[in-house]
Amino acid sequence: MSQHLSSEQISWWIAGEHSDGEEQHVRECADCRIEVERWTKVLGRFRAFGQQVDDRCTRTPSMSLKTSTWPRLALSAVLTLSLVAVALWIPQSPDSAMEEPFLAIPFVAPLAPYERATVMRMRMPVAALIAAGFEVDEPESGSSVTADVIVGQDGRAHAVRLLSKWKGNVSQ
Amino acid sequence: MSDFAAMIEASRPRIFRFALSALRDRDLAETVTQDCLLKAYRSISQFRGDSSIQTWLMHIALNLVRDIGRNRRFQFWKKARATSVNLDAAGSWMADPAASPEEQAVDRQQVQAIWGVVDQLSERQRTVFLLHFLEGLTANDIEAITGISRAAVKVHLFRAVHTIRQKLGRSK
Repeated sequence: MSQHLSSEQISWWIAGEHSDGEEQHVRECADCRIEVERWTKVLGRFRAFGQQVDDRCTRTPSMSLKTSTWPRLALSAVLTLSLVAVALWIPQSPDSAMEEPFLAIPFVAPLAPYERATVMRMRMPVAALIAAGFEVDEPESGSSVTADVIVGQDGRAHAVRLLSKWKGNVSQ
Repeated sequence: MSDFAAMIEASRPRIFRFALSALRDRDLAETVTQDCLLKAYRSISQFRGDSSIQTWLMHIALNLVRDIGRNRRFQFWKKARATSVNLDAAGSWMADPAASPEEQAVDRQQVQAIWGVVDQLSERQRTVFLLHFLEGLTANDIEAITGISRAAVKVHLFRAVHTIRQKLGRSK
């Protein structure tokens, strides 16, 4: 194959289809090779961008600080200091359940980077934990527990942390 | 949560990325992702194992995206949404530390330009293009997800690539 590949042949190549003859031509022809490699590279960048769409849109709020504006940062700092002050002010027993991590509620979209969340303390029926998708090792599903719940701006619960002493075991 | 549920949950980023790319709206993409996972979880018993779980989930996601696309009320609403994502300008998100500022500028322009043309493609060409070049799926996978024959998938992919090359200009 001495002639250059046609525009259609180049497009077919980029789409993943080419013959042995075309492959040999691209090996030998710098012009065609440059064109194929150029578009392969461009579409590679397009794909790399796609991964960033995921990172940007699904990461947790704490990871979005780089994109925050100064007023947001200032507000976050004030909020954080307030929370620290409140945490220091509230007396805690050594075996406080505050050490327990928050457990994400299954099948709820993660908080968007711009979304604010509130931690709400409430009495939570064990049945609600089961309904949210947690596996609860507790024979008495009619009982309730004290829990901190992270609630998004739209009112959806995103994560829960049990606080009260409870013989049951909760997992995802 | 069972292993199956964990596998479903692990697919969340891919489903969200595809939904966001197709719908260009963060809220709708989150809704589709959540609906998709919920639907999958509820119909676990219907999964026959004919395809991979990823393929099965993407099939569900594509149907949900199509449902939204068919709903004309959503079309008007979508354009007015404050949460719309301007993927044409999304190249500005890219920041490859290894690339020079000039290279980064070129990368941004190319990715922005591709997104601009992708929006003008037919629904089938756009779907096939995104599934292949954004998600790295093969023609066989795309056939299983979309129901479009493998041969037709290749033709749609060729047409999408050729259109993009024509619109963005080519050196040959």
